[in-house]
Amino acid sequence: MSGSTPLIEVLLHARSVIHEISAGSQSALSFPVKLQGQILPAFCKLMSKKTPPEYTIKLQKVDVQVRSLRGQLMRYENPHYALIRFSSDQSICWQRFVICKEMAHLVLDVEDSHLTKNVESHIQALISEIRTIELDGALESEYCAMVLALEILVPWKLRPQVHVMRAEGASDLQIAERCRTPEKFINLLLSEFYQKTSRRMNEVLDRDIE
Amino acid sequence: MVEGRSPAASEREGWMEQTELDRLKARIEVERKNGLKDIKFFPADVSNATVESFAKDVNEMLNGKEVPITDLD
Repeated sequence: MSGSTPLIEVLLHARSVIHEISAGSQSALSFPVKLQGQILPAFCKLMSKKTPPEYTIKLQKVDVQVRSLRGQLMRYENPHYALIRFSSDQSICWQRFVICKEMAHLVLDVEDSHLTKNVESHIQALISEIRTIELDGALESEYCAMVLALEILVPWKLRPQVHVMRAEGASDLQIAERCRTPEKFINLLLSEFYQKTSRRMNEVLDRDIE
Repeated sequence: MVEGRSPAASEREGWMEQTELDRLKARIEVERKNGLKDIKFFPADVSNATVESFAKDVNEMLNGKEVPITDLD
């Protein structure tokens, strides 16, 4: 698919964010990874390196009850900044995930094909059940952004803790509560396919660092 | 549509009420002039959504009341 981001690149971006957190944060990396105290400043720092002098990310929690939408990102240039709106009508875990996923677009969507040019066709692609047809280049980045959000909220570095929790009998929901991440994505994280793929690629990256 | 006026009558007169999608497109046009480069959405339940109903939800979020952010860490 044209303009797609290989998974290994998504994982590299996750490591960059986690590296910024480890380098810049007062508190150590632990569950739950702090959204405003750690992840947001890390993204601002990474984006400021790309578009100096200073990149800002504004968060707006909106009192709205809408069925089809959890949040949205609006990204501006000259000056460069991003505005993330999210619905108050969802759990804190979901609010954190939505914000993190929208921030993920900032580092992932560097190609023109990832940008939403035609809002009508983009919405059509989002609400369509037909996932196998390439309706919109921007749709591809949606999946990459979700994986990046998950790899930041449950970083590879802390993954052994998740496996210990599981070995001690913790349910997906209990792990989700500990990580402050929606249970749906903990289900995905702990699925055989995801674990296998994430482990294989992260181990390649670990070897490269050594 | 204005009450009592048929779609055909509105069309004949060259006047149609703005849809939610029209409103969203107009807003995005304005934002593009302000430097908007990209817009993305995080969909929720879209099982019965149409482009028009989704656009309505986007417009509601764009125009919704901002509330204080608490306890995201």
